[in-house]
Amino acid sequence: MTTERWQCVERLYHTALERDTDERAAFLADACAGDEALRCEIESLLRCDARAENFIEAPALEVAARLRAEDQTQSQQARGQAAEMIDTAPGPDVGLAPPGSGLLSATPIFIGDYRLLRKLGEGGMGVVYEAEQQNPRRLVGLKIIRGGRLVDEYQVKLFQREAQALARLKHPGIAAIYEAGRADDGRHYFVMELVRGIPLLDYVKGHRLTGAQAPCNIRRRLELFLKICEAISYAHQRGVIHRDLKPANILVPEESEGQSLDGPGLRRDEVKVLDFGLARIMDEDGAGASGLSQAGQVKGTLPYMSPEQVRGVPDQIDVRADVYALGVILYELLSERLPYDLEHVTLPQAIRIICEVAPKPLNRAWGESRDRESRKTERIDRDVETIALKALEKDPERRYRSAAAMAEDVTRYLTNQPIQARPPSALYQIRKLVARHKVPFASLATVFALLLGFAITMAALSARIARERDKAVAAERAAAEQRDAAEQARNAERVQRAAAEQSRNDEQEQRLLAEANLKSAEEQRALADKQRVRAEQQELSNRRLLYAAHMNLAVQALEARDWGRMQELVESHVPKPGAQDMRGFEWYYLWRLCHLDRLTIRGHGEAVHSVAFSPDGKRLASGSLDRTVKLWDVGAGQEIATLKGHTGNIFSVTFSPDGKRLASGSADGAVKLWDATTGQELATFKGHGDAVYSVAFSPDGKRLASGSGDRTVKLWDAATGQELATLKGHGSWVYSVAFSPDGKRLASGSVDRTVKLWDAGAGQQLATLKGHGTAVFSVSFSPDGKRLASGSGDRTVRLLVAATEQEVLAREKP
Amino acid sequence: MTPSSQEITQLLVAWSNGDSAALDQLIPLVHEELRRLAKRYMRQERGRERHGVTLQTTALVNEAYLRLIDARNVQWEGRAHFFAIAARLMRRILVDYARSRNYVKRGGAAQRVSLEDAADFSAERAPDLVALDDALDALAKIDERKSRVVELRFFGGLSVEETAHVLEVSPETVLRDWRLAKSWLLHELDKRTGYDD
Repeated sequence: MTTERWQCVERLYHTALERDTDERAAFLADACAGDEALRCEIESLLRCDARAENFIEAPALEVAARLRAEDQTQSQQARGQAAEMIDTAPGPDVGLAPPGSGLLSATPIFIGDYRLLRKLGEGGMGVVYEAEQQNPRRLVGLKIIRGGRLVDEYQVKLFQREAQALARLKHPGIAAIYEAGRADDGRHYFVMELVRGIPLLDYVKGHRLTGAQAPCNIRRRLELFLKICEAISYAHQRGVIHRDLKPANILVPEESEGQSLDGPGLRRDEVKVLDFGLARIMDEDGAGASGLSQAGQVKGTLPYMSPEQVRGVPDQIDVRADVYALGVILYELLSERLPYDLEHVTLPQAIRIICEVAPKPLNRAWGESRDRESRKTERIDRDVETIALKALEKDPERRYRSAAAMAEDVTRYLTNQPIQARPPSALYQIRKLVARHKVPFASLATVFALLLGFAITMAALSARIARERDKAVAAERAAAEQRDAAEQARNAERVQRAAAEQSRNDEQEQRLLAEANLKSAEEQRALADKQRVRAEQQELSNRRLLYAAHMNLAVQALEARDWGRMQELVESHVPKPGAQDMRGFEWYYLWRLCHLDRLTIRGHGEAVHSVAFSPDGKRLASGSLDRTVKLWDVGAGQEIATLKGHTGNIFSVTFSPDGKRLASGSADGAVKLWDATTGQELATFKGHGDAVYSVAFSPDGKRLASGSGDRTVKLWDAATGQELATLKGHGSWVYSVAFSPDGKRLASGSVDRTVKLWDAGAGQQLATLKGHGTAVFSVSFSPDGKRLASGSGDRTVRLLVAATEQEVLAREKP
Repeated sequence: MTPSSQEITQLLVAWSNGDSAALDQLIPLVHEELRRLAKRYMRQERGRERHGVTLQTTALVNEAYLRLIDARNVQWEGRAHFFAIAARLMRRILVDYARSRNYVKRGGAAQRVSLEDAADFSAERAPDLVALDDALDALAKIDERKSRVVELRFFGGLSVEETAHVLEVSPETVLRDWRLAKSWLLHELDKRTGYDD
């Protein structure tokens, strides 16, 4: 800021101060003459002036001395035995203590500004004390968290921010949090509103501090539940999720006990939800709200945790986790039972149950917990059960979107309006069932069986199932009839053929007769024509029957995987020129099936790395990372043999030119030779120091070449297994080898980015062909042997001239 | 053995003349005053609790300042200079004290977060000496004299008249400077603590 401007600020500031407060704005607007920045500056200084009366009026020495006094007081209060005494102080395990018990020792124990008076309770997360705050003087609840040490400043900040968010929750149904702090030993504590009351479930069962009462009726329970929803919904709107909702965290304050149980005009503050949002804060420490012990036993609040919580996906946890807990609470409020029996199961079992098993029907649970008399008088309405079950959906998407939406449905029920939630549809339940059991629902029969199973419990579905079952039976019958018809048709075909033959003969006889009998020629001819037409009609009819029979047979062939027969049958009905086309959709369907990929061969346990046809095309060899080579009958799609012997992945298989032998190259460094008919192992060629990536027979079948990770290519005598030559020169793994069609040259492609050309007889290197940017994976000669193609990781295929040695050398030189 | 105010004065003069060893002797003296004052405050708090008695705190502080900065023994020509030096020294020692205290707190000896306080920062609360020190440096860049007014009055414990004398301006000017400086500093602290965002 320039000096002039600052002087201007100063002058206007003091002048404005001399004016009355309500005149200042107008004065400044005028004096600043449109300089908005200046006006703002002075305005904000004036605002500060109003607050600055006592600011820094006390001298710094006093400020510092007070800070020091504060520190000393705190450290005196918290010093000494306080920490140990807190932990060892006697107290009841749960709930609230009757006055007088849990009193702490006579020596006052201070945590921060709070004097602990007595222990109120103890839970999985910490101990709760009644404490006295010094300023303002009031009784508060103070909860000390077990363990809970934060490590760095950043986490302290997060902790504070979170605590501040919680402190902003001000709702009669939520026990307010006043302060969060850390004791001298680093443990966190929370100071909250002191609530004297009865835990929710005890309350509805009729337990009171003053003695036993009649249990609450259903309406009363639902009204209490609405109060809980209200409080939760309020917090959700302020962005705070509870994460550890359970009946033990909900108290019914003493004050509201006196009123009539069923009376109208319910008080707003009938429930108090405790520990709001603390779960998350404590998770920062890893203390966790889950209450899972390490032994895998289930403790604490697991029954109230949603599937997404028990699966431990913090990102997915939103308000609907609270909605789930509300569902459990509603269920428990009504039935006094939990929706799942998790008491005697291990943690993994419990997690599975929470994530997969449907809750027990509410009315059964209710029945379990009631004596007969009350069962007679009250039943839980199906609507209420529907509401609870919607909140208990495994998939958050299917639950109520919010606590408010759930409360709305409960209100609808209480005011006799139709609720929004619908019981899960039959279709949805079946889908869930299928998904849960992962049964391969391939066969119709299984589906029907399951549908039948469901029909017992679901009346609504039974009609549909019966229809489906009838349809299925009818379909089966129809199929049987068709089969019979096909059989009959085949017989008929024979008969009709004979008949047709017969009638053709008849016609000829008639012709002869007609020729012989010239007198009656015209009549005879007319007769013959008639008969011909009849015969033609007859034949057409026969062909139709024949077509139908053949199509049926083709389907049978399809089922029998008799591909050849099926194709034969289908192709026999391609119409000849001039003939009538019989084909319907079924023919086109079957024809298409014939011309799909013939078949998919399955059998290998791992990736298949290499395949090769036998020269006659009837057999196929496949080499797999499962360390076996398999021989297949292509026509039948069936395995002929599994060739075992290699101890490493198989990278390459190839047939000898005569189709009698099979060679394989493996990661175990060996080349093996097999009988390509029986699959018997004939020989093992050892010599490579590393994996064999590629094998190739010479065109005459006498030699075998192999390319290896040991950077060499080896030439073998295919009959004796004798090593003929080792071709050295590549700088890295050799991925591919190929003989030229004349058998005189050999090409190899390598990770060293080059293709090398060798004299296949002498094993001499003829040329090195460079150009690829990365590894060369495959090489192949053209049938005339003049060109060589190579494929590489650089995404290119290169065509190289490999005509003669001279040419190549000539190309290489410049 | 508490040094006499005369000795303190000599130490201050020595420090102002560049004798850094003098500072080492001055710091414990200020801390001793802090301790003494703090003790009084604690006693006073307890007294108020028990009997509703409030002691006169201003007198205590003045007494402390008088013990630390006794200008009576200083020659008149050096008086203004001496006050300025004393105020600067107090500023340095007190801000250092506050800084080390904050450090200890962050280090984990005791961490207390008052939610109500944190959410409602106001001028009524004791100012953060460290932040104030920074803001005062910023003010000095805009208006050197106003920052000195604050230093003398707040850190040095000087009255308006004494401040006016040191700065050789009228008491009215000191008051005007004081008022604007306070507003400006408060505004600055608000900005720094982020309460206006």
